[in-house]
Amino acid sequence: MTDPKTDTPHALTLELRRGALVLAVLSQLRTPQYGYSLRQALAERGLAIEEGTLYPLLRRLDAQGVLESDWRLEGGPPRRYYRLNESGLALLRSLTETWSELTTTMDRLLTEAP
Amino acid sequence: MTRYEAVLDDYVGDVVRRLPVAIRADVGLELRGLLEESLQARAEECGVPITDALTLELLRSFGEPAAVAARYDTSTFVVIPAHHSRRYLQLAIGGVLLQWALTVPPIIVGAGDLGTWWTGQGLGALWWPGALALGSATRQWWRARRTARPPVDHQIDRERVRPAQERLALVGIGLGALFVCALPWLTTWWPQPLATAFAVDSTFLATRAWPVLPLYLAVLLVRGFALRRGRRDQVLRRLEAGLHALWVVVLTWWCLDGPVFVAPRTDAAAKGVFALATLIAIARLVEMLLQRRPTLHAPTPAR
Repeated sequence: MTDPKTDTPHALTLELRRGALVLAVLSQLRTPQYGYSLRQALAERGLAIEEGTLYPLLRRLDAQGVLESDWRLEGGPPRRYYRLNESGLALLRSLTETWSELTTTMDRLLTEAP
Repeated sequence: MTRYEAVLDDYVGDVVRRLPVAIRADVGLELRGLLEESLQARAEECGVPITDALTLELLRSFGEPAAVAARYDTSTFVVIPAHHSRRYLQLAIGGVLLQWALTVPPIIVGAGDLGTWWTGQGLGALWWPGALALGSATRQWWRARRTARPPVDHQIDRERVRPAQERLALVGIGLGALFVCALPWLTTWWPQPLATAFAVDSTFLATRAWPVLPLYLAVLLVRGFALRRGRRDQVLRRLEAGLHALWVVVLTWWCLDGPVFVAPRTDAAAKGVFALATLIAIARLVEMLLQRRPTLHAPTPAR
C-alpha cells in the first residue's frame, strides 16, 4: 500500500500548492485577518490549508517585513491580526503579475501540442 | 479548566519550550487561540461536544510538537548542510581511521593491550567527528549572520588562482627554499651555541639532501605557471599532486634514515616537524584525490 505522504503524485501536488500558498495568503491580507479567520476565508474560496502550515507561514511573512500585526482582545481569546504593509502590497502586485504570466504560459504549454 | 483545555495547554507548552525564549509567548498565545477555535469549529461541524478523542484528532492532524516547533522556528540552522554531508563523512571516517592506523601498530607488536587502547586512544579518536561538526556549526552560524553576498570567483571556479595569495605563497616558498638550502653555510657564520645546535650532518648533506633543490624549484615553477595562467588546470593539479607525493617520500626518508642535524635534540625536533609536514602532505594528497573531477561516461545508446 502506498503511503500518501511519500506517494509521488501526492508529494508533487503538495509542492505545486505550496508555491501558490504565499500568494493566496497575501491576497486575503489586504484586510486585517487573524489566523483562524484567514483559514476560513481561504477554505470558503476553495483553498483548504492545514492549520500547521498557515501560522508558521504568517510568522515567516511577518519576519520578512511584508506584514504588520497587532494583538486584539474582543471578548474571546486574544487574537493577532495580520495585514499587508506597503512592502506587502508591492510584493502582492509583483507576485500577481508573475502568477498571471505563469498561468498564461502554463495554459499554453498544457493545451498546445508539443 | 476542562480536560480538552488542559490537553491543549500541555500541547502548546510542549511546542513553545522548543522555541527561542523571545518568541515563546507570542507563538504560544497565537497557537492556543488557533487550536481552540479549530476545535470548536470541528465540534460544531460534527454536532458533538468537544471530546478527548476530537481534541487528539485535531492535535494529530496539527503534528508532533517537535515538528510544529521546527515549522515556527525560523532561527534554526543546519549544522551540516546536505551538500556537505558526504564530505563530512569522508573527513570524519578518514580522520578516525588515520588516528587508529597510527596508534594500533604498537598493540599489534605487543607493546600494549587492546582494552587499554580502546578505552584510551581508540574511543578518544572520536573527538575528530565532533570537532568537525562543531566547526561546521560555527561556520553555518557565522554565515547565517552575514547577509547573502554573490559568490566570489574562486568559489565558482575552485581552481582559479587568487593572485595576491599566490604571490605571497611564492615569496614564502622562495624564502623558505633559500633558507633551507643556505643553512649549512649560514650556520658557519652564526655565533655559538647556535652554530653547533643547527650544524647539519655531513652524511645527510652528501647523500640525502640533494632532492630539496629540484623539489623546491619544481614547486616554484608549477605555482609560477599557475599564477601566470590564472588557474590550475588538470595537468597542473596532477603535477602538484605528484610533487606532494615526492615530498612525502623524501620527508619519510629523512625521518627514517640517519641524522639530519648533528645535535640530537635539534635532530629530534626537526624530524618531528618533518613528520608533521608529511602528515599534512598526505592529507592534501587525499583531499586532491577526493576532489578530482569525476569521469563521465557517455551512456550506451539503446538498440
